[in-house]
Amino acid sequence: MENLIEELKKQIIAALNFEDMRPEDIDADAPLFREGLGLDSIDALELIVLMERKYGIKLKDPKQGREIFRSVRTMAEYIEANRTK
Amino acid sequence: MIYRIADNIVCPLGEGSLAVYEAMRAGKSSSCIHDGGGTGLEPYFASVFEDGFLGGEEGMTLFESLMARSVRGALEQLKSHGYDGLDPASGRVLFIISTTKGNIALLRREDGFSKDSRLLLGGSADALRKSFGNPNRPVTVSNACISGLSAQIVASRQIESGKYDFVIVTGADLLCPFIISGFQSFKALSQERARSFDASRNGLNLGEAAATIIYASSGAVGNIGEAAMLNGKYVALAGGAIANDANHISAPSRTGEGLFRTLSCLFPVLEGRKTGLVCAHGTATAYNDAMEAAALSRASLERVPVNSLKGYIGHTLGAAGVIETIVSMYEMCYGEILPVPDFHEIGVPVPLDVAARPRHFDGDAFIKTVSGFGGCNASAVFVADDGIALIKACEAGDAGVKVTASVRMDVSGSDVNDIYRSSGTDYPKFFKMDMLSRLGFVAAAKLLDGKGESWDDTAVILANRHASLDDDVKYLATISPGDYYPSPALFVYTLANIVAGEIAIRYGMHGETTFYIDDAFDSAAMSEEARRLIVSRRASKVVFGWIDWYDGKGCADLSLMEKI
Repeated sequence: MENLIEELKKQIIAALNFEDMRPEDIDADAPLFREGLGLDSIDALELIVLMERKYGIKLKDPKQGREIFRSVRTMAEYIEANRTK
Repeated sequence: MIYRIADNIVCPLGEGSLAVYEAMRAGKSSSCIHDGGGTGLEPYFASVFEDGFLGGEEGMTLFESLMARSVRGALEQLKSHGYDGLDPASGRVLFIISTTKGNIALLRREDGFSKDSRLLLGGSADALRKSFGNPNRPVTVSNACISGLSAQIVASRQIESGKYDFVIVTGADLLCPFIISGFQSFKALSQERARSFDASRNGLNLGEAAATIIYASSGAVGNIGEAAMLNGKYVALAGGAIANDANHISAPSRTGEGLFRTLSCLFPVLEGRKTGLVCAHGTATAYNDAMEAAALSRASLERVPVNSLKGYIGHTLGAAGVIETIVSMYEMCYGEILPVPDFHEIGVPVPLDVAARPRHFDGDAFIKTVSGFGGCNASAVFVADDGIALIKACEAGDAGVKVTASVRMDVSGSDVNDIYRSSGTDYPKFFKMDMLSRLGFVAAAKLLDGKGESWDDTAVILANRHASLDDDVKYLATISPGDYYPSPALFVYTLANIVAGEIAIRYGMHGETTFYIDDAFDSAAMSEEARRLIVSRRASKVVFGWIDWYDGKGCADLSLMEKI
């Protein structure tokens, strides 16, 4: 799980263009939206693309993302349980 | 006040405005489910032309030919009504086109940075005006989904400036995997018929179309007489406004701030009129329709009958503002409000009077509203009268209106990032922006920082040559067959007007944001437009100028105009 969290942090930085950010700057348990990384609705859609591209998980309804994308850890847990690649 | 003298719609539901209006009255829709055809697209519900309907004319693409067909139909309508004095080759006629993506279907990944000049939106406008022998430099408005109404508001300014007697406004867009995949990446499309304002709405339908309205000055319409009438009425664009939410580049303001501001500007024009209809944008996405309801309620318009035409022909993008205006004109002049297809139960927080069944149009005016990516909104009032009002434009004096700051930057990609970093600014979204917006951000900072605190009613009027071609190429790479993962963050920047929205968000500017495509920077024309916005009290300050990005290099030439 910890390896997946580290991998995810790198992928989030690349996918969301956090130009000057390093993986250690991201707290795995901090909220991704509003406080924390301050992500918005377009970022949420990009995370859906990331899940599909890297882990073969298709989210049809963006509303599902609200729970999954609470933090890097919740995202990693969902991926661990549902990944197809 | 400018007068509609002819119109035409070419869309999958029919050809000719009256034919399309009658088809809608009969409850017909041209939208249906389509499969992705091996492109990677999920099935989509859309209104598309049948194979073989579109024909390329010599020297013109399918998109340009469709626009020309739409213009010809409008000219023929005017002739058939008994007036043959409008020569489109006259210097007193201006062509304005409204489109979001023009010939984007021609972009091929293997071309890399295609030098195909047909991809330039301004080239399509030029091809159109040339095909009618018109000598004037055409105007291209690319303002996301408000383009069609923006273009009509621009037409009124052009005619009221006295330079033209007639303006031919044509809005058009054709669908292709580029556009459909982008909306799918936003999870914005429904796989059923769009149900605007309904509790069960679950997304929009796309559509392709072209439509034309020919407008005339009050003097010119006087010479045309009854041939300019629509079912016995003169129809005029009496006033319009554009405003920005200054909130988010894709999410509508929850309070409908920008749209409310546009509606507020219309009140003086509506005095003494009975508004029979609000033809809303009504895309049938959850957030758009709720936002519109909030704005209409704030403007005390919630009791006026509301409809949306998206369920008949889909969202026709750059054509939408033009088509929906035309159909609403027919509703006003034939006295019947078209219902929203499949509307059963109100699903927005404000109890709008949504037309669920055909209704009598009771009034002599309607309001058309539109909203789009980049936080832009527009609304306009159209009126029907028995006679022609000879109104002379009355402007306040322009004493003290002048350019107070200018900035020019010629840069490459790394320069822009270095300028941002050296400024010490902390703006978390900076590196999420495309290069055009980053250039807009640093140029606006150089122009504006330290020059004031309140930018609330500042307008942003920008132009460029290459629209968003850099981003178009990048986005196309995300929808390659076999590696198909369309990126919403890239797609949103394939609309060039987003840079104006980013500047508006950064400074809290709720004034007009308008984006033009042109061959080169026409400084005099843009300066004159900025001046007019200030003297007509539509803005207290205007940021205007040129901002282009192509093939890794950019140029910004911006000015600030204000009344001192």
